[in-house]
Amino acid sequence: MKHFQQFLVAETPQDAVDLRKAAGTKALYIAGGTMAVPLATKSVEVLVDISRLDLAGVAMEGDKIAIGATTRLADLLSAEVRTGLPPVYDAVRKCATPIIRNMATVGGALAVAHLPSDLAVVLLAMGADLEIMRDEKAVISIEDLLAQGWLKGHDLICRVIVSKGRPGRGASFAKFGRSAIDIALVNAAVALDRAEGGRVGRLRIAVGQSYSLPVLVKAVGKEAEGKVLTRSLLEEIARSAAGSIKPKSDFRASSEYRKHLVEVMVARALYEAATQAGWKLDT
Amino acid sequence: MTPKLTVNGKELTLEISPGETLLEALRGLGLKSVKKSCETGNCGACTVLLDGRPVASCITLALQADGRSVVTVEGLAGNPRLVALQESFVEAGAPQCGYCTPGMLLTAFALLGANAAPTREEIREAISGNICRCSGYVKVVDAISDAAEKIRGLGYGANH
Repeated sequence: MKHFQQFLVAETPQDAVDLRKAAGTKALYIAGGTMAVPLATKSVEVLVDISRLDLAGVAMEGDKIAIGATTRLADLLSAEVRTGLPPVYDAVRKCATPIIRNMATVGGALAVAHLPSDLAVVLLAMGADLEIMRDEKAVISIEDLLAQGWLKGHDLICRVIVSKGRPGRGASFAKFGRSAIDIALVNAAVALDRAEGGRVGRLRIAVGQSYSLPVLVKAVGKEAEGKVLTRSLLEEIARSAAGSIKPKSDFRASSEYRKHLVEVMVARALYEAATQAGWKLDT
Repeated sequence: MTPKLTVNGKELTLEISPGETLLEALRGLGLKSVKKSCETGNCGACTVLLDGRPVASCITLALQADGRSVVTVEGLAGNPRLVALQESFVEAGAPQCGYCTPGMLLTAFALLGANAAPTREEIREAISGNICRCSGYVKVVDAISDAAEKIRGLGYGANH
């Protein structure tokens, strides 16, 4: 028996926000429940069920893909996501277990960005936008929302909007955990555009580690732009990315070990993204 | 609160408190195949089918299942796909201590419903959320693979 006192079912996003506001700090949204049920603290007395909102589904919108917040992670393992958003498909496959993926939703997986969330890191690198309900509907990039300290109070994620891949662009995700079900010790994602003559175009590197919000390593990306991508530049970028992160130590891994993992994960993701974008770094 | 749950094909109206898990509600109904173990959704011993999909009943609140269909192995007694799996588990010696077996069977049942001829790799992936305490997965994979072959031989489609 869990300690929750009230379970309120929201009919619309507005309804969900109103219920959550009325209950104040004692309330939490629940969709799949894989985080809320086992991990909610005793201070959470009210659950606002958002799983019945009409938000689930994946829709093609021109060169973008919109993913509804209550879409189950398992439903992202489809042919259309595999072709349209390969790194998202890969991140979902590396996230938790099939049983958890049948329950957990996209919105929930993003809400816990600090764990770090695999989905948040990959979508940050890809420059995705979120449609959220605050007091009214707003569209904000994951990058900007992170800069604001992520979701506040009754903020409700409704949809994720992300651009599909295109020729000359690579995007990839890498994760390290002790076993497949583990929350990542470190994860990283890279989105990379190939410019004229094998030069680096736009480069976005996102890193997640140990209970801090994912970071977009902007300066490192900017620094590399316009340079010809070689194996040694790739290694230098990965080293600089690791140098810009100050991980915490905890019982799962030391700060030094996590720093080392950042370098390796960024190098892996960058190598894969570069290969997709048309570089041949082995020759 | 009084949610309506369809449990093993029967519609029930239950008296449920907000903190009650689906695991607790089902065991309260006498469905003891649903095992209580890690209670954090990590081990798969409490797996049930919710609208046909394997989920962890220990971290699902009973109220989340309102209006939905819940199936445990008791509800599949005599189902040809489950019987084939049970026979193959026994023949292969896959149950070992048996604690994870009901969850393994339901996960395998859902897998074979979606994919009549899974590879060993696909079977391993499918059961990766069902932890075997005896740590012997080879016989479980053998059994599921063998059951898939038997079911194909019987000529049952995905809906059986």
